[in-house]
Order: sequence, then C-alpha cells, then structure tokens
Amino acid sequence: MRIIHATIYSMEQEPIQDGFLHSENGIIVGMGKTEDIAVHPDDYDACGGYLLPGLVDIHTALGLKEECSRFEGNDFNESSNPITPHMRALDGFFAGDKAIDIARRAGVTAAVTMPGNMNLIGGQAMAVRLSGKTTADMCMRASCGIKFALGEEPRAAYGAYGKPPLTRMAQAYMLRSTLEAAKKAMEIGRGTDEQKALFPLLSGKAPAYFHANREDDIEAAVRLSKEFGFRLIIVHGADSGIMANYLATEKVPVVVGALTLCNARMESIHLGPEIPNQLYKCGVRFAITSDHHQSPLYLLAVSAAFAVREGLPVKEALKAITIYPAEIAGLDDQIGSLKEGKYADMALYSEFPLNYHARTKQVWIGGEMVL
Amino acid sequence: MYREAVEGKQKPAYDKKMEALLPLMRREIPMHVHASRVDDILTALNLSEEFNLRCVLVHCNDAALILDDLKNRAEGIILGPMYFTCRDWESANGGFANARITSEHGIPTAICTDSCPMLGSVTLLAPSAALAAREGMDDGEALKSITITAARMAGIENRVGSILVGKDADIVVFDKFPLAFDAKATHVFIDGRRVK
Repeated sequence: MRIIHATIYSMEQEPIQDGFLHSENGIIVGMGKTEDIAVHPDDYDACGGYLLPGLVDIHTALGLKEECSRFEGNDFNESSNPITPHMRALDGFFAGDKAIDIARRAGVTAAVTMPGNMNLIGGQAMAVRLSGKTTADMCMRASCGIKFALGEEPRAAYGAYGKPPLTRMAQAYMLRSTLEAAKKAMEIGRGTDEQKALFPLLSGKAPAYFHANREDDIEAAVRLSKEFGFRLIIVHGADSGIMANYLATEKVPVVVGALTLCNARMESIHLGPEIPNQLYKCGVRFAITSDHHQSPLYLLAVSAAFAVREGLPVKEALKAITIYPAEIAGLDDQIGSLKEGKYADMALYSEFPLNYHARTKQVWIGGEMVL
Repeated sequence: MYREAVEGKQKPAYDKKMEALLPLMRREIPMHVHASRVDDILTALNLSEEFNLRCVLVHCNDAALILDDLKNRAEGIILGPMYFTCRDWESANGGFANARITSEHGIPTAICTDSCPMLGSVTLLAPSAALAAREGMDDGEALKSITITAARMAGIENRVGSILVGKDADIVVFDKFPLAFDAKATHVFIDGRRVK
C-alpha cells in the first residue's frame, strides 16, 4: 500500500513536502519524496493533505464507559471494593462502543483504556488499536499498566458511606499495606489474585497510572513509587504545572487533561490548557489526554490546539498526541510515529490538523483503510 | 384561564406561578423547551400551537430528522452541547453536522455549551461553532450562531448580538480569526468599559 503526494509529519524528522509512504503487511517499509518514485495508479493520492501517525490517547475509558449508555454499558468502576488490581479492562471492553468509531473518524488509531477513578486500585489497563470487530482484534497489550486513584473520588465513593478510605491518610495506608503484601507474595512466588495482579508493577514490567490532581496527591504517588520502585505516570495533574520543577527532578511524566471541561472538583481547580507549556518549559515529559469518557476523542487534537494558544510550540503539541503518549505508555516500538518497522497507523487531514477546518480524509490502521 | 381573568373585569387572587407564565401567554417571551427526540420535539411544537406560544427548542438532537416541522413551526433551535460524549440515548443523533443541515435548511440555529460542572466549559462556545464549521456550517453562520442568532432567541437582540449604532458596546477582539482553536480574546469590553 502506498500513499503519495502527502505532507508527512512523521514526528521523527522534519516534515516531508509532497512525500510518499509505503507499507507492506501493515508495517511501514519506506518514506520519501514522491518525485523519487514511479507513481502507480493503485497508489492513494493524498492530494497534498497532511499525513500524521494516528493519534494516541493513553488515558481513556473507551469500550468501558460506552457512548450513550448510563448503567447498561458502564463497566469501568468496580466500586464494590476499593482495591481491585485483578480487574482487567480487557474483560469489560465492548468493541461495539460507538465512541471507537467517533475516535477513528478524528484520526485516533490507538488508546489505552482503563478502569475509573473510584477505586484506589481500579485494575489493569489495556492498549488497543482501533481496527477490527472484536476485543481480540483491537487488543494490542492486554495488560499495559495498573490504574490507581488518589484524592476526592475514592473518598467520595467509599468515605461518604463510612467505609475506608475516609481520608487521604487511609488512602496512603491502604495502598502501602497492599503493595507490601504483594511484594512479600512475589518473593515467595504465590499470593492472592489481587497480589499476583501487582507483580508486573513491582517487577518493573508495567507502570502505574495514578489519577492525582492536587500537590499532596502527586507527592503521595511519588513517595509510593520510590518506596516500591515502580514506574509512575501522573494522570490529570491539575497541579503539575505548579510542581513542574519537582516533577522534572523526580523524572515523572504527566498525562494532562481534560483541557476542555468545566472544573467540577476542588482538586482539579488548576486544570487548564496552560499546563502543557508549563511542563514543556521545565523539561517534564508529558502527553495530552481527552480524558474520554469525560470528553470525546475528537477533542484530543482540539486540546492540543488549546495548548498552542497558551504558548506550547506547535511541534510539541503534535507530539503530545502522538509519539509522547506512545513513549510514556511504552508502545513507541510499534506506534506513535511514522517510521520504518512501525505499524502503518496513520491519519490524513485535509488541512494542518490543528486548524478548525481540518477534516479527517482517511485513516489507516495496519495499512488498511478504516473509514 | 388565568390570563383571561386577569385581563377581564373579575380579577382573580394573585397567583405567583400563573403570573410567571403571563409573559409567555402574551408572546413577550418564547418557551425554551428541552427536547431531543422527535417525539418530544413534536409534543413541544403541538403545545406551542395549541396555546399560541413562541417556541424555541433546546438541544434538539434529532433536528436533522424533522427539518420541515422545525422550519415551519419553531422560532428557532439551540443546538448543543456538542463537544462531549453522549451520555443518554435521547442524544444519540446529536453532533456538529446537524448545525450545517439545519442552517442550510433555513432554520435559525444557535449553538450553546450547556456549561455546568462536569460538562464542557463555556470557554468552548467559539470552539463549538468552529467544530460546526468543520462539519460544513458556513463560517459566517457559525459566528452568528453564537452572537446575533443566539441573542434573538433570548429576546435580547435589541441590545447585544451584533455591532450596530445604538446597541450596547459589548465587544471582543481576537488576535486571529475567532474560530481558530488557538485564537485568544485579547480585549473584551462591556458597555464600552474594558473588562479584559
């Protein structure tokens, strides 16, 4: 499969004007200037459109909190117990979720979908590529991280009913004792389902996605990650802009968003489109998220444009919705940029993708058209 | 009945609830009806005709399915919010493309954010119009949908909604075309006084 006459933003090199991209068996095998190849009638003519790697959002509830649904398709908070690392997004995922098609139409080709914020440990995140009909078709990595949450939500979900955690003190204690028990279980090689689910985290194979907004919650997450030696990713990070120097020193990445919502909680009062630039200026690794289901995936690129309005360089904004999230989620060996050897997952836009008139002309996943 | 009595000789006892409806019955203000599905939209239109009321439909997610009724029987529609995930079945047919379809059909179309906690922010008003423009709504119509068209549906077009001699000096200056997602409001004036 070959695309010709495209303006290629690969996220790896300077943009290629009038470029071509060649893929075989779903994998990119070559890129360059169209003038250097003999064009063929079967080539897809991009007519000067903008070809980017498919967008990537690594904090979503795709397939777990379904479009239109209230309770019927709401499978992302197992709020019967605050500690559920053994719950898997894979088992709650519905490949027929209309939001998946909405995402594809906006050029989003991959996502990490994960349990919600009510539990201190919500469960296991799954990486998906948005082609095919079934969960098996879409699943890229069945378990690519563990979802944690600190702050107001677990306290509202449990504390409000007199159950622990009522306070941030209990949140830290409950997480610490769970992780300590899992660590001991790992040493002896056996444990409960809950404990076994934490082994990949404690052995460095999977990162922790921590819902943390306020300074105290972000610091609590950093303390836990240092104590137990796991890889930490801060999600939302309303106060991360204020703490940018600290996060740069601690080398903790932030997945920031949603940048498009009204503030609904005290903890996220500082969440806004100026944060990506604050993180960028201080050298913190970051990605932008739509925070689907809170906002739809077609606002991912719009969020990046809002960050540009607040000073983030355009190049950084594009990377923040492609290669940076892929790197943070550990998926950059396969997706996130256009490079030989990676999946031919691409979106073609009629105009520069952050422009309001930019329409998604075509999307390919594994070299196959999906629109 | 209350209206006939108030305007007749035999004054009834003052009724706060009924008084609130008098401007509506006198057609001084329209009713704004939350109606998404075709059935709800038709109920609203039927009621408005039965009682000779002005009718503006809000959300109106099924608009594209019922264009002629909207054009002939409603004063206008307020579409939105259109920037968030669909959270109920009655909104399933919503979307920015509707704004193009209804405005092309000659239905006065305003766009709203429905701003409140956990929904999108009111700062998404211009981006909402921009996303409608992306789906084919004319840029000028998109700008009107968040200025003069909206003002008309609120009955405040004699004071705001357009720049015209005699109207309030409520003006915003953007550093680039206001539908661009990275456009910034650099100056905002209300009654001619700078507030930003």
